[in-house]
Amino acid sequence: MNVRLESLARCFRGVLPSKLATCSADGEPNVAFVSQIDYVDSGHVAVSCQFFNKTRRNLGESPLATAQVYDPLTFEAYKLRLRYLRSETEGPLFDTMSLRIDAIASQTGMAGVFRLLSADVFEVLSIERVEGFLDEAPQQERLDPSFERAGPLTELRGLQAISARINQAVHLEELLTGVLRAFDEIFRFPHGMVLLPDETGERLVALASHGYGGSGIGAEVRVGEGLIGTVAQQRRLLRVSSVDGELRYGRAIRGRVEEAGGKALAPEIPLPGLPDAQSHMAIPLLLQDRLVGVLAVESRDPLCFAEWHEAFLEIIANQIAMGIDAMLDDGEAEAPAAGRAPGAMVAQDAPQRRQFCFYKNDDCVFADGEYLIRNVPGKILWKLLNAFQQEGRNDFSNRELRLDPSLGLPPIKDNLESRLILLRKRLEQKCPDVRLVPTGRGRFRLELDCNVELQERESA
Amino acid sequence: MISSELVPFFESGVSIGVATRDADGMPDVVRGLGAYVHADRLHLTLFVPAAVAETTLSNLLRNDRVAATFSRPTDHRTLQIKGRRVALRQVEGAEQERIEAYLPRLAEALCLLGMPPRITRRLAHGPAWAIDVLVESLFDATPGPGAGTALVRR
Repeated sequence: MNVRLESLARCFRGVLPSKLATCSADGEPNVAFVSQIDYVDSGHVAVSCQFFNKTRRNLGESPLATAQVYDPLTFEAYKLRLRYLRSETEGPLFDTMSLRIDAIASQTGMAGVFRLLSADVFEVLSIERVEGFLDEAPQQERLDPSFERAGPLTELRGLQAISARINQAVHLEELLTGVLRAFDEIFRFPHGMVLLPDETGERLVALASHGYGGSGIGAEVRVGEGLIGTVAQQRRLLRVSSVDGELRYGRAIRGRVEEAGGKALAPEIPLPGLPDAQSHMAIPLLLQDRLVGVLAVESRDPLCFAEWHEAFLEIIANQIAMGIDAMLDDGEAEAPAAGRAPGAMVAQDAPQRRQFCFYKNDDCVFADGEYLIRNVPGKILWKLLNAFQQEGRNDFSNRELRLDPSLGLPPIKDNLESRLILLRKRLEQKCPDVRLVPTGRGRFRLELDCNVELQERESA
Repeated sequence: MISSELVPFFESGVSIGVATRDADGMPDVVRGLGAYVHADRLHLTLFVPAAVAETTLSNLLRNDRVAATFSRPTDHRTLQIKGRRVALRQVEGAEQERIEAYLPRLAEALCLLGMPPRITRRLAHGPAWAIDVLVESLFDATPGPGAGTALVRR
């Protein structure tokens, strides 16, 4: 059976120990329990060498090895036939593995004792799923989001809880809010947000927030700017504890003088943030080397985020990234049902008049003189409003948006789902009398309880 | 000889890995299904599920070297034995009951780590092979500075 190494991501997160068998020159087998096997690339893995003296000695004499790794959610086992290549004692791979081990060591009071001696790199000769390792599961067995038994919070429990949320979510919005809610329940991280890259890849847009009263949806962060932007650029988790006034999301991003342009840019939507936050943590959501988003949490407690959380959240971030990616792929996912039944297009007693203005130079839509939305979601709204005004049409499909070249959606991974979430949420916040109401799989209706006037301008 | 105070550890709900090798020096590992120490404390029997032990069996038929590591999931206390296969046979009589008793103990230990027992209970456990091993050496393999300390040497 042909298994790709990438598909075993969960097995390489150090949740369940792996077993590593080696052999001495005179043919005596040895088996060690290894805390973590790391994915290096599609053809290589690395094993953290801390104490396994016999294993290391054997590899020097006879480079062949077999590892058995386990999926921490399903307990499926996989067998990797390996050939030992080299031991690295410095460099990016060593640093990454060392960071995690140091974090665990300091958490368990073993700093210095429990440390990485080397990252032992292996070529993967073959991978097989261990057939028959588990008996058939009873029918319709599902991950239970409530823990089966109360117990200490472990990586596995956290992973299971988050995974259950991801598996149960039927659309992206539910997935993002579910994850943030789970973070609050499981880790006691009451304030968090998830940002996804826009179509240019130069900015991140906040699509979900928790603990800020729903504010900040649509806020943008430039890649490379501030804590979140830095995490997106560096693809590394960042944790800042006990900050004083020096590091604030807002300060880092708002009113920042752009070095290139030299003029201060006030963003249309400020990023939410606690004015008195004492600690921050932001985690890149990655699939291999592709950035799917950034998850950011903050707290008034200066010691809210510990090294242990870093190690833990890296495991969960991968799971969230996979969930988001799957949702983005499913462009026809069922959107959340709105709180209202589809009603009349224009209410008879609608004296309200809204003026929408579209600025062509930056695809920006203002409603009644106030910034509403820009870029692809802005263009989508403009298309819908025009179709309604010129053709009297108010039923639309995701498919027609995908096929409209003027919207500039990329051919694959078009993020349409996330753009529509953003548009719907911004309308809810700013123009509640203009709604996008899902009417079925991949279909929605534009509902208006107001009269609209449309204007186009070249620039502001 | 295995000291008498270690016997309960081998027979508790520890996670077990059984290693063998083929003629080309390619090692193999399979998850064990429990073990027990014989009254002479020189021999030990390992159980492996037939469903996943094909390589283990063919290795042991050609070569009698075997290693087994026993690790307690909750605190990582770990012992490794090295020895020789003296018999390879089907599980007999009361041995099946040992296997049935082992799984809930393992499930309990893994549950403390968060693995739901309903999943652990699905570990393939029948039919199984029994490997009778003459223990030649015994090592403390608990992670830490003392890892690899020989407790019994041949």
